[in-house]
Amino acid sequence: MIQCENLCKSYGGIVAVDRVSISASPNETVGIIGSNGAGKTTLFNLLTGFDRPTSGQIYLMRGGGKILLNRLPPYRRAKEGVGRTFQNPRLFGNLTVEGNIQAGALGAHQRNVDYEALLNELGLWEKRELTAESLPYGDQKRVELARTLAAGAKVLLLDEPAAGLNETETAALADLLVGVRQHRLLTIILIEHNMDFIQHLCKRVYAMDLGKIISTGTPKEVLESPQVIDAIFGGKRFDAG
Amino acid sequence: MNIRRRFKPGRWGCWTVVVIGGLGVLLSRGSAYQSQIASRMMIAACMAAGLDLCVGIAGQLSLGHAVFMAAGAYTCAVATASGLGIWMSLILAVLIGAGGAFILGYAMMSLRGDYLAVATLGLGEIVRVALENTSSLGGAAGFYNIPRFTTPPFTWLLMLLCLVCAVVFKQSRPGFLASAVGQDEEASMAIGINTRHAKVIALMVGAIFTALAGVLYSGLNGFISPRDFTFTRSIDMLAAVVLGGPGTIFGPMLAAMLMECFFAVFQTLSVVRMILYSLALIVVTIIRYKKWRATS
Amino acid sequence: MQQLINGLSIGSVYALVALGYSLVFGVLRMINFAHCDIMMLGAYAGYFCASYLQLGFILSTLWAVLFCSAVGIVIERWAYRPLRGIRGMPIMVVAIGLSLLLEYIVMFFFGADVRVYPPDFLGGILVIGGISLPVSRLVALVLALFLMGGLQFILHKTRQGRAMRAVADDSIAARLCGVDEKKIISLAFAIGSALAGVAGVAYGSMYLISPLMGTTPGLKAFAAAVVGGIGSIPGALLGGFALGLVETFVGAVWNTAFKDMIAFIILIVVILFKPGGLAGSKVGKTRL
Repeated sequence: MIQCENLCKSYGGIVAVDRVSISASPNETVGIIGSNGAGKTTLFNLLTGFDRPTSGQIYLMRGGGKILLNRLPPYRRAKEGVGRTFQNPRLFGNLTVEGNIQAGALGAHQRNVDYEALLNELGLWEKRELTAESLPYGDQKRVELARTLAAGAKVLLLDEPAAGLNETETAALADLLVGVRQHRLLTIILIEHNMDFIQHLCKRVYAMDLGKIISTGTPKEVLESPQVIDAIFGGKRFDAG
Repeated sequence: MNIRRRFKPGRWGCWTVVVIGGLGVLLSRGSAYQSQIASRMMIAACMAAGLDLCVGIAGQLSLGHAVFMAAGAYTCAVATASGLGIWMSLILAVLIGAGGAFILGYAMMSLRGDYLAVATLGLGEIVRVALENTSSLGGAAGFYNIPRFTTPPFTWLLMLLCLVCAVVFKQSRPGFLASAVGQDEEASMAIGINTRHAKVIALMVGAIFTALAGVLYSGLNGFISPRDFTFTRSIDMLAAVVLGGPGTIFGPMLAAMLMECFFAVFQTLSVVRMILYSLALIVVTIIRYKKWRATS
Repeated sequence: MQQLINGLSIGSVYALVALGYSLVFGVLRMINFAHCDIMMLGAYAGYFCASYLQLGFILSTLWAVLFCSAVGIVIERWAYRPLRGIRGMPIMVVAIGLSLLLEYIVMFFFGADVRVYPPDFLGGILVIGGISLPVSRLVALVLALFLMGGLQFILHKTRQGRAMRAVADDSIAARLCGVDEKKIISLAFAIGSALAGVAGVAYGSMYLISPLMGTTPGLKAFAAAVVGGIGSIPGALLGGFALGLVETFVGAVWNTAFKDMIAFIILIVVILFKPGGLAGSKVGKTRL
């Protein structure tokens, strides 16, 4: 389980993240929504170590113990099991699918990674010998996910996983995430703009605006809350059509 | 685990390096001049291999690599002058090169690309000026009376050693990690790779090759001076890496050998050759990376 | 006092060149490695005008400025623009290639040996209160200050200048406001190169010129720009003058060798510990 308390980040005069406290537990998918500039990606950067908070604590609970993540650089957090994907998949272009996944395992000192099972789980077995840069966008995202899993991630922070995917691909991704999560008891936090995706996958949602959390609860509750409708949807109710 | 398969540098390329070097050795029987050229070619190849690990594989642009060469050369000079044998001097020089790389690496590897380049450049200048002003090392006039132990066959052997070690490194775990870091540092951090560590290791191994080249260089004419280790030297190395194909190891080595040969033969046209050379650098880089941009 | 003038005059050269580095970095987020060689071109252009064409100080400087601006624009268009957006290494390599190209082309035409500006270019010594001040240094100083004032004016009072600051601040936002990024980048290069041209003439009239003269002062000027805060105009000014003064002082008190090293030592120290420089710009270190 991962949680942060009163996390703040300011750049000079601008407050990007303002006293944010969130948490997510194993086998749970938590969503974060908000308009652009609300501080979602900054929050992810803070959680994964790519940025240092101005104040606040970030904890990882594992096997009964509480680990303070604040002082750990990104690679250490990755080793502790905090993995992330990026808005645009950042693969090692020259390596094959298999090579990328092996990179994940090697980097984090993971032994006994069952590559075959992982590739099959993510539907990449037939494509394992293809070069990463030759793959279509949707597959690249899967490879990035597989690589993160190979690195031993128990907590997945996914930055707009459904961005750029069409309806079929999005649905497939949703099913994939549910399967992977249940199979490995992962904790998943995702940033998304696709509300259908959020509703389908997330047990809980946080809505952010201007760096603060303005609402939290089940997807239905959050999407119907007046503050959220105001801040994020510009006054219009979201219809799950 | 089939990473090794993916990373085997072109077999043809490596053998070409070996063969050309060997040819150089054979031809050098002819005259002292040819012997000089042959040795220089292979020394350049070692330097290029060293820099390739840092620039081509780990993606860190170093503009001051001549300092490692200088470290190797001066250590050897001082060691032999103090009475240590050649082999001891070699080992000592290599250790100092690696040690220097270790310190510099940890100090500088957190710097962003252009800043790292400039910092290494500044460092190169500082070292050069310092050498010029250290009379115990000969100052600007240089260090004389170094035993001339550098023969083409010896150089060839060491070059082969560098080649083999570089290839082994590239296929090893540290080499693989360095390569990942070179391709995408943030993604590497996100999957648990200690990027600073990986970069420093690549730098250290590369520095060993470069220092080795320095040792050979000092034994070439029995004389070294700060003028041998200027920014131009670092740039020559860099050009070899860029034109030869960063990351391939044999490419930069071949390029270095060919360049050295070319310069020796066409010495009279030195200014024109520099003009052509720099044009080549510009044009080749633009074309190569413009293609990348078009496809990404 | 003599040293003060010396320090300020070399400082103004550094400041002018540093401004060029900062301007280009501001709009393009890259370090134009070949910048110091543009300064060298300026020095040679001035020399050419003064020696061969027998033009006076003002015309020579003018031609040098125009020439350098043109070269700067050409470089940007043909060498840097094709690689726009690619991280680090290829651009540095191209810049180094350009640097070498310029140096050796000049060497081809003028030979590698050192040249001196004709003595009547800015000759003469003013003696004020017992201190002898070479006219060349004074003129360099005054000219530099004047140009810097002009630059500040351009940046803050003209449309193009404000557009340039906007692009430096946030290029995407600037584009959304209708700023033609390409033109502004060309302008930044043109101005930066023009300033470097003046610096070249100034330096040349104070000291000697040679094809490889650009590297050392250029690097020091870059150090000055970094120390002042790369991308910051006041920072470049501050850094340039500060470095000039420090260097002259060190050279006077200790020996000249140390004088050459001090700039680079300061550079490395600043880069390692405070990459934002005095003005505190937020670039330089990779995240964590």
